[in-house]
Amino acid sequence: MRNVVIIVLLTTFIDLIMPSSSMQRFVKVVMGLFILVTLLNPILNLFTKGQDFEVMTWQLKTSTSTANTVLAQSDKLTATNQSLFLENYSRRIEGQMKALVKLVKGVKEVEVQVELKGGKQLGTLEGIASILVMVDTQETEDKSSSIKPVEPVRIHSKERTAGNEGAKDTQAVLDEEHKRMEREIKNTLSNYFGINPKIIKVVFS
Amino acid sequence: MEILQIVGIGLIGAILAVFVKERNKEIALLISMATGLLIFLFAVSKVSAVVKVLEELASRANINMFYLTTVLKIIGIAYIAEFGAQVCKDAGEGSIATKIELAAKILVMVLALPIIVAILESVLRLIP
Repeated sequence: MRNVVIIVLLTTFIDLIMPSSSMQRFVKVVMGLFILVTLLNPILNLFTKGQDFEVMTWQLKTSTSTANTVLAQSDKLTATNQSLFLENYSRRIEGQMKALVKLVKGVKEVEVQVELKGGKQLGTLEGIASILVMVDTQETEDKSSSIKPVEPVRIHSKERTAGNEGAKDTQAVLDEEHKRMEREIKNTLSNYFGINPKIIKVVFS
Repeated sequence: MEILQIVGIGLIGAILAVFVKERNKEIALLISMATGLLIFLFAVSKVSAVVKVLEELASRANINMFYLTTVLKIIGIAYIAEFGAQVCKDAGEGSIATKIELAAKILVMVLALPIIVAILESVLRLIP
């Protein structure tokens, strides 16, 4: 129904730009044929179960070849468009996930890689195959330069109070912290995006 | 305000042609031809916007682009043929103008043939 309305609009628009001379009759006839073929197409599709009838172009061989190349080029363009769209889509998801993971306590820097399930075509997209989250719990270089004086103080205090056993404890605490963060990241991402937490892989650096 | 420019070019061309016509008919004809061509080129440069809208509408309605390009080609042929025929008529060559129109009509019918055949095919398929 929607298509019919658009076809009618299209033909009125074409009717407006038609020349007003003896040629008008001819152009009008062809326009009528065009409307007929566009309206007949869906009806025929009902009978032939989705088979689109081919345009007979037996009279001009050169024009058929150009039409075919144009169609092939359009297919190629659609494929590139769709793959670009999917790429953009995964990049956007990565950005959103990055912002979400940064909200988790203790996460300083994060890198997210999303792998999509299915082919490069839009119709074959089945969802997200896997997510790799690379978490950095320490400040990056340029950030650390501004708070460098703090670091030696912290390490120093640890050495004083704990010693060798203390180092093991801190490792255990760090592991515990990493586990907590992994849990939180998985929870947040699976809740926000409605995905299985099993496909999320968290790596600490 | 392109219309002012177009009307201005048209009026200047017309006045020049009227003045020159009494002394030299050939030059007057050339002036009218040049004016017509200038206005025609002015209008043609704006057609791309219209074609874009038409193509978008067609893609929304899932119309085969082959049909739309055929229709647009036919309209283009009609416009160009009309322009040529008018110029010939202005020059007093009515017979050449008629021939241009005839050729344009034949070309239009040739371009319309695939659509006619497509309709025929579909109708024949509907009939058992």
